[in-house]
Amino acid sequence: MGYVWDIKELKEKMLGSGMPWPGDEGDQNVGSKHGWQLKSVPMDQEDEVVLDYTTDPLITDQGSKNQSSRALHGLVMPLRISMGHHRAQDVEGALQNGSVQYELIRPIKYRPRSIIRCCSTTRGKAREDYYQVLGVTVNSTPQEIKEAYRKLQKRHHPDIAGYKGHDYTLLLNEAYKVLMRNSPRNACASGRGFGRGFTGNGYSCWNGPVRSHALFVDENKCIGCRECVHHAGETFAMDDVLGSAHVEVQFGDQEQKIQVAVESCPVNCIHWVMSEELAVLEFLARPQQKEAHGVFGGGWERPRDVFAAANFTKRLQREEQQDMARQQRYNNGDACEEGETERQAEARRRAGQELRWKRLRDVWNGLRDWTKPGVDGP
Amino acid sequence: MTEQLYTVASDSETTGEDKSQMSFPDVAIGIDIGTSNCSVAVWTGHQVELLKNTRNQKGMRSYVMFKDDSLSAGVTGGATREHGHEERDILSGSAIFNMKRLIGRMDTDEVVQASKSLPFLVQTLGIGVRPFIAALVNNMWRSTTPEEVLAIFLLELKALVEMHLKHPVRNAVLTIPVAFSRFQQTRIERACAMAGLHVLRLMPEPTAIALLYAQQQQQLLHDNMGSGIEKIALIFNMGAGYCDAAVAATAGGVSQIRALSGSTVGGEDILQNVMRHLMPDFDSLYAGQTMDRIKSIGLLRMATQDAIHKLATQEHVEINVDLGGGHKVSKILDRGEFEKVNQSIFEKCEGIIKQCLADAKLTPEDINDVILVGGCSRIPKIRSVVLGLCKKDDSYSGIDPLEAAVSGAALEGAIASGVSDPSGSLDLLTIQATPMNLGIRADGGNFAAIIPRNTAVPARRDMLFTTTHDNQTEALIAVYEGEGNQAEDNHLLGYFKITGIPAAAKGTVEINVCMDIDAGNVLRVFAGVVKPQGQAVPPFIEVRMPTLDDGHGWCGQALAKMYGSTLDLATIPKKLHP
Repeated sequence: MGYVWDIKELKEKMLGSGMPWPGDEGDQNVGSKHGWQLKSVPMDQEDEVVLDYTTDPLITDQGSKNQSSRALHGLVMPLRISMGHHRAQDVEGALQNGSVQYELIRPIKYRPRSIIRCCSTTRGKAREDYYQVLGVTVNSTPQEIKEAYRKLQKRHHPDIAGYKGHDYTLLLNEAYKVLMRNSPRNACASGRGFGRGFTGNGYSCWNGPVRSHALFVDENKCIGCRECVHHAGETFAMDDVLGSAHVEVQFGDQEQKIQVAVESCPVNCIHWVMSEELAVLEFLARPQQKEAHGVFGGGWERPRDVFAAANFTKRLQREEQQDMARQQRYNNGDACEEGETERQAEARRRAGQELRWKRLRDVWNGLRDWTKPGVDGP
Repeated sequence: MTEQLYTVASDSETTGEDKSQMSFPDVAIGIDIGTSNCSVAVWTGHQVELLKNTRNQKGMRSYVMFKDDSLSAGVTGGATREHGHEERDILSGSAIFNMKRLIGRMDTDEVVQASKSLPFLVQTLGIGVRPFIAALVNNMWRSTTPEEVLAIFLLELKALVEMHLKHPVRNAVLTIPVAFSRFQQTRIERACAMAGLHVLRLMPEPTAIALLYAQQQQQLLHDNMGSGIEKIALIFNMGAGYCDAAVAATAGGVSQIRALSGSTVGGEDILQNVMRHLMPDFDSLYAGQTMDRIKSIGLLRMATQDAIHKLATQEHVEINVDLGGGHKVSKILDRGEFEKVNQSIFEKCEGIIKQCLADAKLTPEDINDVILVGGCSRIPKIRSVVLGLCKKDDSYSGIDPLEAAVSGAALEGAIASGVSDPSGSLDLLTIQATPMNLGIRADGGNFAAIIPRNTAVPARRDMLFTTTHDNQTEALIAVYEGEGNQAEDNHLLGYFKITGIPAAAKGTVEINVCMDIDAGNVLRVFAGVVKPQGQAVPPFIEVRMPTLDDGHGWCGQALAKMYGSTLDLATIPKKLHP
């Protein structure tokens, strides 16, 4: 059984099945091509190491074609999704035309084996990569992740696509597992403070990058005058059912227009809030179904003062986290586990750093390889 | 089939993608070999059709009758001969049945021990070897094996299908219980190979039902033009030999198996419990098998079976049977008594469902539909236990409890054979999950799970291990499957050695063990040294599991005794890598 493919064969198969082949895309993303990490990355405690025995050996550099004699014995190349160089638009574009772009990241020279391990730790593949595997954005709800996962499974599952779908499906499964495990729903759905349905994501979407401040309409105060919609129609929208305006797209218009809109509100119900608080506020501002007692009660309500409610939920959430931490400690019980949590914290800190520096390093690596193009030549 | 009863085809492993398979559509058939009943279904181009045998039955009794010089299986029910087989003939000792419970089990297994009260001969030595099984032919015990019996049965089944379809059949999708170990799966594959069938997939029964459910949900969707809402179903399947549960999340024709659990309790256990209840001195009375004892057990069995069936609809049932030899049973069995006798079985069922819900991380409120299938799902107590646990008033009604599994298998057969249906009724997919932990022996007899259970398939995971002695150059990788924390509590699948590990202080060498399961549920284990690297390290080893052929009870103990301490591995605690 052809478990390990010759790279040529793989290429033919992939091209045959309409999958893009990395080398054919031109050189505009040299950085990403060369940008896989050299350094090992700390593992989070619960992250498994995944070794990719994906394709074999005879993978050569684009520049030095057919240098395949240098078989990398036992070295296996992970099939990876292009690292965080694609912007959100690209992802959306990929989503629209129904294919998720991915490419084979290749090393340009012989690399010692340990790299396999480093590169294939789940932490090594940053979360962004997983989002790209599934073709979803960071803001996607678990529901969207699930839908994207199912859609892709239907195209690539070996039952449908044959054996060539195996590796890609593995990647899908891994991405799905990681994203669903870390999805905010798991942390919040059972929360006391929120009813069911809080996903951790706001309702409004962002135009451009996420900024530190965001717009929020206090829909209780809003009198439905449509002034804001008139001045900044891309940003604000009127909800005719509720009779109040809300923010549809953060920074959908030019800042000047937005400023005019904010000032035009006769009851001053448009607020600038911290972006972190936005999700909670937007969730609370939506009418929630009330618990009904027989024929009494029921219906829909929303808190009078959204800001006070947000503070309250935040406190509840904090308490809950402490509760959970305490419980965890109680469950684990012994001292060695305490040490682990410290290590975990360390791992998190490092991972954060890693993510921050990765982009820089990628560029640097790319540059280095760029300046020495002949280094791997024949 | 006069002189040659069955041909043993090559027992080779699956042979990749066949070009011929693509050129003419050879759609795999779906087969559900049950402990007591068996059925077969095919995809006819627009729907699944269950085939009927010459006696016009869809569900055929699973047995093989050994007569003087001929064999006949339950598919035709002996209808080609002058008279068909009656239940009395099946219980006369010359027919072998319940092979699904016996296949691939060692004689220390309690299921095999419990099978000793069956009318045919099940001889055990209790040392972890195959049991000796024989059928009565002309007052002589003629030995056979469960695989052989199953192969004969499948051969007759295949002939039936070929008669209907009028073309040769090669591929099949079979349903298996969740509790089947990988070793048992290879036995099923071997039996199929003996019968000339190529196993395309072995599907756990509840996942086949989940696929059928996904199809129904999708058709519903097409009719209503609703949105792709995710529906979560709990599937509980209890037949004569096994009991399985699964939680499946279904949306847009994709059913995702969230959790699977299963156990070897079934109608057979209920039957034996009731038989022992009716005849308190059952075991002492029927210690050795003589002709009249076999006959008498057969009579009791039939009466008990009948009574249990009646108890599904009646509050109490009267049992009056003369067993011969001065033994008589006349008793009124009511439902309360029946439930008390089988208390432990209902508790086990409860445990399976609770486990399944816990594994899927769901509460009963999350379940949209409860699907009850299998012969035992008709027992009122089972229904109330399952529905009570899921806090539902009624079960899902769109699925036939006896035909669901085979229909699902036929659907999967069509999908996996690459058939596409213009109307979209085959636009389906099941994402399978692994039913058991897979791992290796490490840290002195402990079990280190590499692929935990309920991982989505295809799956690939790896883990790092290190040596336990200074200058250890060899390490034993013993692959196990099961739920126990100790390696010995699990099924041994196979073993191999990594040799030529560079000499170093203990704990410094890193050995990577990776497991890969593909969509056909084939397990491959890769292992090799990843640290230190260089020219001196041996190449990786790839092993297809299970490699063991037999006697794995012994083998694991022998391995542990001989090499347990010298070639042991230790897990590397997950830590920060510099």
